[in-house]
Amino acid sequence: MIPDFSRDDISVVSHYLGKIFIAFAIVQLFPVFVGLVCHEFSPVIDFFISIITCLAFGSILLYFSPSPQEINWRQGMTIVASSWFLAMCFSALPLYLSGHYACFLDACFESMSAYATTGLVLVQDLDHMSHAHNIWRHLMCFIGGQGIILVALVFFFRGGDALRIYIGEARDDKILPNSITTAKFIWMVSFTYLIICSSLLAIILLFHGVPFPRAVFHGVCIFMAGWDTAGFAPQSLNILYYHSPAFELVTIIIILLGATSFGVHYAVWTGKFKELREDFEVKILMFTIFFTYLIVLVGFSSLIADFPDVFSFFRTSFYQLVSGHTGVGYSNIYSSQLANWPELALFGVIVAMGIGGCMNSTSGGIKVFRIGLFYKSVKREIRRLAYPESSYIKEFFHHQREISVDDTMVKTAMIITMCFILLYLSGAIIASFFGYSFIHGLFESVSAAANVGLSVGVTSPLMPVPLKIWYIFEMWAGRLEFFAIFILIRFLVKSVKR
Amino acid sequence: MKTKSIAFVVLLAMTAFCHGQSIPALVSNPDLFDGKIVTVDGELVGDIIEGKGGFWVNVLEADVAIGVWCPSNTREKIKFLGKYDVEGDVVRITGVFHKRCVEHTGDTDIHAGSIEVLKQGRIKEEQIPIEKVIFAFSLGIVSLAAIGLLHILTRRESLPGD
Repeated sequence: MIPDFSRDDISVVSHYLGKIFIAFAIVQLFPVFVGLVCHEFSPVIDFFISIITCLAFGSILLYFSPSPQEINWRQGMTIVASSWFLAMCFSALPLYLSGHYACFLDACFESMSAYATTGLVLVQDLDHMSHAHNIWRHLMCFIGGQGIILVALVFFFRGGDALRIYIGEARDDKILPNSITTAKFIWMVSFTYLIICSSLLAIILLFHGVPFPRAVFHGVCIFMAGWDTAGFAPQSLNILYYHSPAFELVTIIIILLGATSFGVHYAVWTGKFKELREDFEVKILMFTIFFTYLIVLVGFSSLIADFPDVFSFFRTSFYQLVSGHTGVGYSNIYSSQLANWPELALFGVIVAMGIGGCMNSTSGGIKVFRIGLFYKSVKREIRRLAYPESSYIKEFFHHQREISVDDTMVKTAMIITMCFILLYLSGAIIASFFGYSFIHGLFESVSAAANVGLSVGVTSPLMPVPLKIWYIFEMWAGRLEFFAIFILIRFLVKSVKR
Repeated sequence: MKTKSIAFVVLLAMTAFCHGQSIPALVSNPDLFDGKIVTVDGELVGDIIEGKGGFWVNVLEADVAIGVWCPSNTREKIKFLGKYDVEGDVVRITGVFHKRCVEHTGDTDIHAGSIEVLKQGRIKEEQIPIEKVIFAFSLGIVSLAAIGLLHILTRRESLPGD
């Protein structure tokens, strides 16, 4: 018998949602600060409205559900899924008030895209957007990449509660003994890289004659969206705006760091550099980058002569591939040019996007861990069939420690992989229904569900409303890896029935 | 140097014969215009990005921008670059369009032969809609009153003996 959601469940969920919204109000003080520094007063009012709304909403929830109880698993999952959905709606408010979005749905699309670290955009006239709104778009990427809950974890949750909602956000690495110290470690790593990499990007721009404040602004924005594999940029031309291979090289390093598991980051931070060589996920990531790039190369085989030289070809093709594989979505070409790539090359990028980066990184998609696990379980089955029946076959892999492949682990990985494949196909079918070609529909759908952000031009303010709504769902479901959303849906269905 | 000067003069002479293209059309049909002389009108946005022997500016038209590589001696023509509070110079650029530029490792760009400022930009005065201010003010008062009331009620309920 599956237990029903009780009044207590609603009270617990509301209580923690209230706390999370107070945290949201606090976070929005940063764009207010940027607005004041840049003398952008209209954006400051937009954020004031949003902050007040978050505070009021959070206070009402806290008043009506005051007593914090211990969270159980389904409450944790419900908190995660609903906080992401509500965060999308509330964070869209200042964006919508900026006047850069055709409707509130477009602003919601953009905020979900930022939180889920997707990078698909519906913003209009981005080149004239205020610094305050622009930094908010990138800050949402930074928060969403680490995890909305991870922000709140540090401040508001107790140990046992923390673990239950930490896992709801598609993270299960216990880098340190408890989830709160793990969350603090993740934030420490992120802020350290923020300082180093933003400075590096800013220095490159300073060498290109960009004034200091603008160089810092661009450096911070590009780092936040690159490290969190979101792919937003402060200008409409995305990475093409900078016209700098050196700048692109640094972004590749940032996105590879972002796509690497925090477990590996921890190992490196604690001096275990050999983890970089031995970690099973890192090896699989390198292999799948190589393999999918081979597909792209074969796809381009007859067209390589169109490029001025090998370096230009490599710069274009490898950048899109790595950007897609790691789920960043930065692009140094126009989406119309990407749409005209040979179908096999596009297919190579689709496969790379579908696979995604490492588990417990800021990447989306199926994740290389699950691909590796699939490979290991196939290998184990082959060995099982080849050896005498009495033999006991075990398969191991190294992921921070030696782990044995077990059936439960494989089953969970396969369920999530199947959910991703169904989600990818559903978006392609819906796009085909609206008249887009299947390959373009599939590309965009995988890009949304795997939280990548590369586009062949399907995503635009003019695309059909049902497709916008479906992509929002894909980004949300893909980022949280389904289970939290399934539980929220069940919670809502039960509530309506009652 | 001599070849470059001749090429520049030829380019200027050819401007009389080339037609204006929209930037979205160039970007959508790069094969059609690759290596040809094009004329585009648009607003300069963002920043000037210096390079070896020239600089980059980005020209925006109908929400589509393109990078334009300009010779260093045209630098002083540019006064305003479009941003939140700045309306950038509206310029007419005539130059060679490259789908994949040989000189710039495959960038899609225009190498400007001439830059003509059609309308000089300006610093915009920020417009704050009065309705937005009134709404924000009212929302602030109502919300703070509600939050205060909830706080008082919460404290009263938690008093011992109640």
